[in-house]
Amino acid sequence: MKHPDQQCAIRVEGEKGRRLTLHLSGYLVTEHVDRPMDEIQSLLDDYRPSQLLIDVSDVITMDSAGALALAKAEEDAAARSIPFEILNMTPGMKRTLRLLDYKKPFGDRDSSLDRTPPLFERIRGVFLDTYNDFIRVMVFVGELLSALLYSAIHPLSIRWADSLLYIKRAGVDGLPILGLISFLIGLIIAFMSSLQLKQFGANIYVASFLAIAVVRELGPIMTAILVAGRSGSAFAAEIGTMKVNEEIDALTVMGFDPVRFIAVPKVLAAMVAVPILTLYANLFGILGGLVVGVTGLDLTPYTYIQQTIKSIAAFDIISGIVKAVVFAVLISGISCQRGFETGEGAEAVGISATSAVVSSIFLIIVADSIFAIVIHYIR
Amino acid sequence: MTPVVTVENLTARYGDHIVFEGVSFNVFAGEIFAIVGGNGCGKTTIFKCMTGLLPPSSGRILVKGIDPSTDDEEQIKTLRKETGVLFQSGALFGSMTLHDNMAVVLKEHTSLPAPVIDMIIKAKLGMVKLAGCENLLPSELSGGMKKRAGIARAMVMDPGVLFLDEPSAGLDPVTSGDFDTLVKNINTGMGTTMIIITHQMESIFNIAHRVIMLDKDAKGIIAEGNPHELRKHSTDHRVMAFFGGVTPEHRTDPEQSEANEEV
Repeated sequence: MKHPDQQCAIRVEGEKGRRLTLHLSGYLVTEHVDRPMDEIQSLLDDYRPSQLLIDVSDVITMDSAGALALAKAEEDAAARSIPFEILNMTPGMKRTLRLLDYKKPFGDRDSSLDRTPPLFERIRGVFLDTYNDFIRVMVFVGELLSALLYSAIHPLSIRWADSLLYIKRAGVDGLPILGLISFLIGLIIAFMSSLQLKQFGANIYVASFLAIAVVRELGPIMTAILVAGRSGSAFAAEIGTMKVNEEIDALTVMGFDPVRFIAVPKVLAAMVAVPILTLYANLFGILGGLVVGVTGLDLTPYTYIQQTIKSIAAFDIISGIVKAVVFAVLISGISCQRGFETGEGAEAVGISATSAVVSSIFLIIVADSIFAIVIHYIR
Repeated sequence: MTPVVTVENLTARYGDHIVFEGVSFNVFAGEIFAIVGGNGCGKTTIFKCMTGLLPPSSGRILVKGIDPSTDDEEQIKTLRKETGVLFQSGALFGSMTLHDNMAVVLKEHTSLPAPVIDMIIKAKLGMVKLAGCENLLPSELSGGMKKRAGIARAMVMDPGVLFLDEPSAGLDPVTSGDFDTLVKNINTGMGTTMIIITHQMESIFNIAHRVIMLDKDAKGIIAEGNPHELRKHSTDHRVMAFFGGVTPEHRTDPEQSEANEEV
């Protein structure tokens, strides 16, 4: 049994330059092993003996860290070419020492372990990782497109029950939180813009401003980000767990195409759910503005709605839906890809889920930027 | 006799690390063939190569005359119907009942009507003593039941070759013994060729007709034959240690003897 309060004492016998005997007594255990280690080293520097003997006859308990202290003393002595011997070891101590591969802890470390790669090597590493990731994503895009094409030609091969389940999970289950967030965003934007527009007597244009902002940008973006957070992470975690549990391997050896079996229902579900959610988010965003308009700007609901309808064109709504479909494919696609890329263990599933959300949001923003330019020229 | 599985000069490496090289063996129809070896010797890698989950670095594998790493989809489809795989964890689909776990395979590979599919599933579950468990989810099963359900799913298409990865791992001795009996019964009753990756020696002595032993340092096969013969006649200390259940260190370490005496 260890005694954390008891320490190891060292009694020194010998003269400088002659044989040095260190009588260790007490508890040579993990809790205080640093002291004898340091002490022996400084005694070696101080005495520079012709021979070092360590007597452990009075050591009551020695654990593996204590044995390491003895091993280190031997190493230190060897480094100074001093003959070394341990006296009066019990068989138990010998066994503890034998258990340790004690040449290694103090031997030359593999310098590559400590070496931080040079800056350029690190930059190269980052680029290579990004490049490899891009290639893997592209390969998956190819597989997914081929699976979607196959499913379009053979609609009976689609697992419709799973698709409906995912429509419910990604769509219906997300309605309350999406409605609330969209309503609050609409409310905030309408309120902030009203503070400015009120000064010019342009209260009515709060409705126009909000309608355009929500339908063209905020609705699709807010919906996509929420779906990425809720469903993208869930897709990646689900597939990742299947990978860890060998279920993906099982699918492969049973003759299924895992992409067709697992990813296609999710992508189809997202393609259905996200545009509907976007329209729903648009509605609630405008509703938020309506509350501000009616309560803070002295507008009647009828006037506000009329102004909203006048401000948005069918093109705005359609472009928003097209965006939503593209976002849906991006979110579900990249999330499934991240799931399939999951490594070993529970931690890898978490990494995949995080990566799915981050990559989805990044792709949403990139795609939205492209849409902004393209729509500007099409309009 | 024509082999059902042929492995010729198989080499597998991960980056610069060679797992094994030049591994060759044949498995014949109706055999229970075990691949054994210590951790890191490449058992799982061979299993993955034979089931087509990992393309070999070099060499050739033929399972029922088909290369599992071929790109020919028709051949792969045929191979998938001809082979079944039991994974270590069972790998049952967690979101599906046992019935659906098995039905999905039959629906993919056949156009059988639903009542016939139900009948087959009931029969296969009965075969593994899980009758009446059709509507249970994998999470509702014990470890042994999961393994049995896994074998039922692997056997749902009546494959000629069944690969089993560590089938007894994590099972208590009684359940493990029952599972061995099940494997033996399937082998004798249906003539299924079985390739078992394991290091459960008791199980090997109980069921395997032939065995190969892989070794991490030798990077290949160090013994091949009947497990009982190997135990009796092998002079290789690694084989003796593995099959005899006694490590050479235990037999030769004087310090350990001293320690044992003290105890």
